[in-house]
Formats: sequence, C-alpha cells, structure tokens
Amino acid sequence: MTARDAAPPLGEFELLVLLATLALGEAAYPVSIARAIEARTGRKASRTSVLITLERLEDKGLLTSRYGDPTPVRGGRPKRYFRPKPAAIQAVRQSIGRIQTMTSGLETLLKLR
Amino acid sequence: MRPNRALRWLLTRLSSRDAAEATIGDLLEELDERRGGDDAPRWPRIWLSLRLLRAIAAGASSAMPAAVRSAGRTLRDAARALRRAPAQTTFILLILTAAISAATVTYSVVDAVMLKPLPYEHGERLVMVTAQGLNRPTLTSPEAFRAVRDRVPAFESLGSVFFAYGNQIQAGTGVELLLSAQTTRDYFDVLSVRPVLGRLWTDEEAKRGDVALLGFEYWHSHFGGDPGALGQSLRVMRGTYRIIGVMAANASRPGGAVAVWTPLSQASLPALARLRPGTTPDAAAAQLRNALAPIAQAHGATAASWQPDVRRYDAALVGDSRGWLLLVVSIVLVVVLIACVNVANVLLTGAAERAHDLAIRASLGASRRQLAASLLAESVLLSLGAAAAALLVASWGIGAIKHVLPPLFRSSTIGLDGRVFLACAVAAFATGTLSGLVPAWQASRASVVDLLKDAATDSPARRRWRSAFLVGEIAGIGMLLVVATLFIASFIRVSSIDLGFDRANLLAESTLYKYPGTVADVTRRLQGIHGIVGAAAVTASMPPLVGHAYGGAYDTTQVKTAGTGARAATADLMRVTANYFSVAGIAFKNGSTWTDAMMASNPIVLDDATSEELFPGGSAVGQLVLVPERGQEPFRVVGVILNGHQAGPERTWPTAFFALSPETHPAWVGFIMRTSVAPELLAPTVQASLDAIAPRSGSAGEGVHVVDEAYRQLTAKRRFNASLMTAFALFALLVGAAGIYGVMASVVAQQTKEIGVRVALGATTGDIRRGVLARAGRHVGLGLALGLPVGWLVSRTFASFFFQITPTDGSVYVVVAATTVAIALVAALVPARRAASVDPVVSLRAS
Repeated sequence: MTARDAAPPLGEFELLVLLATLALGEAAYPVSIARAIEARTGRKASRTSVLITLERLEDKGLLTSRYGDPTPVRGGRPKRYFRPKPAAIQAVRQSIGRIQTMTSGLETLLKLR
Repeated sequence: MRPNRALRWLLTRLSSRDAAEATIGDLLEELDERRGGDDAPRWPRIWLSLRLLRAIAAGASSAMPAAVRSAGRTLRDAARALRRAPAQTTFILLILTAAISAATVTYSVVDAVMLKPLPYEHGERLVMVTAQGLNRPTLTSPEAFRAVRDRVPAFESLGSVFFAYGNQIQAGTGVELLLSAQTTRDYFDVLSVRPVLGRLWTDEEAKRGDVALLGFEYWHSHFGGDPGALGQSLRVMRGTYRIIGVMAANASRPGGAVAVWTPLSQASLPALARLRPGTTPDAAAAQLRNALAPIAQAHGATAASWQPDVRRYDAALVGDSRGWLLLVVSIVLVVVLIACVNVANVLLTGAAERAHDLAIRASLGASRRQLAASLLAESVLLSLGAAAAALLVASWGIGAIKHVLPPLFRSSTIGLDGRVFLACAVAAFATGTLSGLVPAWQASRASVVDLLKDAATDSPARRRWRSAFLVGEIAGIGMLLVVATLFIASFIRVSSIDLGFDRANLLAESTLYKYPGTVADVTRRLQGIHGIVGAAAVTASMPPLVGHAYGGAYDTTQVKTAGTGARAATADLMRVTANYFSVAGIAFKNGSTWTDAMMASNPIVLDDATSEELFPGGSAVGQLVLVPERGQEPFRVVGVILNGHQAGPERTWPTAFFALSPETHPAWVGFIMRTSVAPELLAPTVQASLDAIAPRSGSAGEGVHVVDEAYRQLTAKRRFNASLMTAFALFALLVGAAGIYGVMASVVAQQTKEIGVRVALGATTGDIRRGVLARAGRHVGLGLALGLPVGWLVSRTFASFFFQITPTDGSVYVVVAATTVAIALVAALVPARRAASVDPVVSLRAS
C-alpha cells in the first residue's frame, strides 16, 4: 500500500455528499446538501441517509460539524453545519482520479466527449 | 408542529441534545418545504414520526460499537452457512436440543432440591440433633432433651417438633385431613420466625395445651386472612384449641405447609437446634456425646448402640437423595459431553467439506481470526437455536418429571424460573463453545495455501482430531453404558424377586377402622362383593407391602425355643386368620395353617428364616416356642412358610404368624382380598362397602389399596432410575452410532481415489470392506479400553445404589462391549459397502 492511498476510499453517495458540502461552503447542512444533490443530479436523496453519510464521513475524519444558533424558522431549532477537512479534498481527488484513470481510453465507447 | 415526545427523548438518548434538535429541525424544514410544493404528506404528524423513527434506527445502528456491528455480520454469515446445509444443521440442532434439555431439567431438580437455600435467617446454622439407635428407634426421653438443652453450649437454641400428617382438622363445619405440628415454643426461636399476627403461647398455655397458631396458608384459605380469626376455636383430632395467632409461612418445612401449630407437651429428640456463630456441627456432636453420656450409662447395654448425631438441617432434609442427585448430574454431564463431541465432529467434517469456501474467503482477505470466528459463530448460533427449542422441551419436561420423580425434598417447588433459565443459557453457551472450539481453531491454523491445497481432501490434523473425538465419544458411551447396565440389571433383579406371595389381583385395606360386629362379619361382607373370591384379616396396619408403602405399624418381638439352652430369634409378629396364607398365595415348606380344632393349642406359623434360627437343621413343625411378650403359654408350630418379602423386594423381614380368631372384635384389623377381576376396578366398591359400616379414623395410609400399586410405589425409585438410565443409554448409543457413521462415511468419501487405486491394483471388495470395518473397530476398541475402566471407577463410588450386582461383575462389561461393538458395526456397514462399491475407473477419472 502506498502513502498516496492513505485517505479512506469513498463510496459513490459519499462522494456526492462530499462534493455538495464543498460546493455549499458555510451553508452546508443536511437539508441544503440533500437539496443540492437532488437539484444537480436529479437523484432522490433522503435527509436521513444524507445525515447518516455525513456522520460516517465525520467518523472517517473527513468532516467536522458545529451547531448554529437557533433560528425562528424550523420550530426554533439549530442547524448542524458540516465543513470539510483537508483530508476530504484529498479523498475526493483520489476518487475522481481513479475514475478518470479507469475511463481513459473508453471515452468514445462511453460517449464522454 | 411538535414531534412525538417519546421519539424525541429516544433520539436524544442515542446522540446528543443538539444533534437531536438539529435533526428535528431538518425534518421540520423539509416538511415546510413539502407543504409549499406539491408532495405535501397527507398526515404530517405521522410523516414526521416515521422520519424520526428512521433517524432513531440509523442512530442506533451507528451508535453500536464497531465490534458489535462486526459480530452482527459474523452471525449473519454463520446463519447463511447453516441454511446452506439444512440436514447437518437439523441433526446438530436435534442433538444439542436433547443435551441442553436434559441439562436444564436436571438442573431444575438439583436446584430446587439441593441448591436453593433454606428460607430461614442464617439457615446454614440450623442442625438436626438425633440419637438414633441401631435397632431401636430414637432416644426419645424428655430427660435426653433436657440434657442436650442444658449441657451443649454449641447450641444457641433447641426446639422440638412433631409433624402429624393427615390429622383431622375442623374449622367451622368441614373436617379435613391436613398437616399439623406440635412444637415447643423454642422451635420458633431456632428458626427465628415470629407470628405475623397475634402471639406465641405462654408456658402456662403450653402446659394446658389448649391454644393454637394457624399456619399462614391455612389462615388465608380458611379464614380469608381475617384478623378476626384470633379468639375463634378449632378442633384438631379430638381436642379443641383457641386460636391465639398466625405463624409466618416459612415456619413450615419447605414443601409441606403446616395448617395448625399446637404446643408440644413433652419435648424429645430428634430436635432442631441453631448453632452459635462460629461453631461447627462436629464440635456440637462432640459436646452432644458428652451431654448424653450419663444418660447412656444409666441405660446400660441398650445405650451402646445409640449414635448421637448433629447434621446440617438442609443436608438432613435432602437426605439420601444427595448422592443419587450427584450421580444423575454426572451422568447428564457425560451425556452433554458426548453430544458436544459429536457436534464438534460433525462440524469438523463440515469444515473439511467447506475447505474450498474458506480458502476463497481467505484469499479474498479474510483473516484467520475472522474464519475461526465465523465457524465459532456457527456453533454458538446452533446452540442458541437449540437452547430456544430446549426451553420449550424443558418447560414440558419439568412438568413431566415432577410426576415421575421418586419422593424428593421440595420436589413440588421444581419449576422453570430465572435460575433454571440462566442454567439453560449457560449450558447452551458452553455446548456451543465446546463443540465449536476445535473446528474453529483448526480453521484458524491453516494458511491460505494449505486451505487451497486441502480443498479437495481432508487435512491430516483434522482427521486426527476427528479420530480423537470419536475415541473420546465411545469412551464416554462405554462409561455411561456401564453405569446404566448396573442400574437396569439392579431393577431387573429387584423385579424378578419372588415375594413369597401373589401380589397380582390382591387388595388390602390398611386401616384403623373400628367395625361393629366380628372379624367374621366383616369378612363375610367383603366376600359378598362380586369379584372378591377370598378375604382374610391381619392385625393392625400390616398387610403385605401396603403397610410399608403407605405407613403402617409393626410389632417386632422375640420368639424363643422352650427349655434349657433356649435359642431366640427376632421376628415381626402378625396376627392373621387361618385363611390368610391361601388368600395371600403363600406356600408352605412344611406343615400347613391351623384348623379350628388346633385353636386351643396356640398355633403359630414361622417363616423359614425364623425356623432355621430356632431349630437349625431340624423341622420346626410340632415344636413349642415362647413369645415372652404375649405371656408364658407356649405356642405350637403348625407350619413353616417359605421366606417372603412382606416389606418389599429389597428387604427380608423374619415373620411369625399366630391365630386371629374370626369371632373377635375387629379393632385395629386390616383385611386382604383376592379378586377375580382387576383390583383397581373393585377398590372403590370395597371402600364404599366399608365406609357404610364404619367411619374413617383420619390416619395416614387409611383406606383400600391395590397391593400391586404398593409394590410399584416401593420400587418406584429403582424403576425411575432404570428408565432414566435406559433413556440416556439409548440417546448415547444413537448419537454414538451417528458419530461412527459420520466419521467413516467421510473417511470413505475422502479416500475414494485411494480406494480406486487399491481396487485397480487387485484389492477385492472384501478387502476394502474389511479395511473400513477394521478402522471403525480400532476406534471402538480404543474408546472402550478407556471408557470401561472409568465406568468401573465411577460406579464403584455409587455401589450402594445397586442391588445384587456389583461394579466388579465381569458380565456387565461384556454386555457393554458387545452392545457398543454391535452398534458400531451396523453404523460402519453402510460406509463400508459404499467403499466396496467404488469403481476404480470412475474414481480415477474423476480426479
């Protein structure tokens, strides 16, 4: 095993959740993340599975979370914001890199261009 | 909208307050969003609760430690593996269920009888104080009791109690036969129990003996727990007592609730004592002997046989059953071990067949530990499944065993409770681990390369383990069979003893009825009942077997020869009518019963043993004997009967019979009746006929009994032991046969190629068959060589349980060896034939 492989491998949904978190920046919390995935991919993402995935990524050391201040909407309940750690960027890069490596030479077949 | 409070609480428990609030906020936000859109839920509250439940489930699964999650996956894999081999799984489940049920039921009995503590404060300090004589009953003088009370400092308190079963108790209108007890006041101090209501009697009241305490259960069942019972009166037998209190429930002996407690006028031994803290029963026994020494001296020679003894109360209550229970427990342990070894063998065979599976998993990255864990998980899963089934079987078995158990202390409290459930779980876990350990260890030792190489054949290590297991299993079976054979042979010997009379179609009435009219009147009444072909009278409650089975009175006395150099014999003295011998079916060795004409000369009939003792070598008939207890007038011997077993097959009591005139008044007389139909059918008729002329006295064992039923009662323990051992032996043999078959079949399957080569090189089918049988034979031989000596050692410890057979009896071992070899041959025959039918062309081409 090489040093480059140190970041844990990501599943497909984990990758989507991480990408949405990166894109949303400071506004990343489960509802906004799910909304972003649905809007961009057209794929249904349940809030619960997004939350579970976020927690798993936190366990893997790719994310941190903090609680926001209570807001008057949502019944006065706080939001739990997630922020990527540097390792997250590395993990995403590796995941995408692997896919690119595997797809090289298949562009015509897969009609990627 | 507010979420369900319980769900919210649960979510908070699983994560944190903040996390739970954030999750709920997310859900509320989504709900709002949906309401704005076109997919608004129809029932928002239910939608929210369902979403919360999902979050809780997700939280619960991620809250579990990684080890638990991985254990869950291991169990799931194990369950899949078991489903793939349904035949093997079912077989193992059956064996383990049988073993765990046996262990659970046995534990329930042992726990109730022996392990549960007595319901008294510091019950371990309670001791029974006895001064039993060898032939005489106990030393009962009040003088002895006082000596013990005053001169044994080891006793903190000493109390005397006399339990009376079946005494007539009358509260209000109904008369019932219940357990009552007469005690000294100190008895309650010994137990450290107090009345729950009212008070104990004073010394003055004890002297008058006219007050009583109600038993706790009796107070509830007959007075509805009403405090107004105090001051009322009730009758016990012929006395009237004023109720002054209600005694705590645990004052009764465990298993026998006392209805009424009354004062005991004269305290005597045996007694119950409480030891001072720090003293031992042995120290107390030494002091007891010193305290009784002056009394023993005063009594001279008769005191020589007194054996003052101090025993722990719990041990005294359990009595002889202790050794017997220990034996059953050890036998059950052996049965469980045999089952475990068998399951281990089946799992090992399964592991050999699944070596390919394991090899693939190993090459995909499963660690040795994971492989071992998954195999161990399989066996634990199997034993858990078996435990669930065993609990069902055991709950039925415990109910059933209570009906067939011979009388045991506290046997009525045997039941399925938390302790028994725990024992079952422990048994399941132990069997699962025991049977899975070696297969798992074997799997963890093999390297991936070995596994891939061995995928097709069995590894030598595994084969060695299986051989060792099989030998161990047969050793266990051999040991078990030795003990079982001794028990079964004892029962057969007991059952085949000629009692000296004909117990079939015989009724006996063992009572203290007081009939109007004469013996002849009652006899005629009985003979008038259709189905009764003969009736004879016998004194007191001594009809054969019945008196001993249901409690009777005996009259043991000395019979002497007349003249100088007199010889004496001790015998039970029975007074019977002349036709007693013909009705009972007793055969005469010499002479015959008496006729009316002989009545004047005091006729007496002796049994062979008594006759031989008084007139060794000669004939007793016509001789004169004296029975000092019955006056100076000599008796003339008119007949000698063959020795009989009036007290049951295992006891021979010398007996002498003398004449009961049919014209006497039949007080204290019982009757035996010969029937021409099944005696069970006639018993109610006879009972009704006697009830019509005399009221019952209310004493124990009263009424009409079927003599054969008394015989069954007297031999109940032997019959139970024999059936229990038969069941265990059959189970062990069945399991053993399956084990031998399994190992031989797998050996043959693994060696198909080798056998093919041998056949190709000219081996005949007979050679091949003999080879397989010889292999089985070697295992059996080695197993028996180990098991039989152990069986001898174990049964030697329990030699007192056997009747007319000893563990040194060679025939036992011959029978056991022959049975085991025969079963093993049958079990090995199928694999042997399969081996012999191997076609070399097919087997060699296949590889």
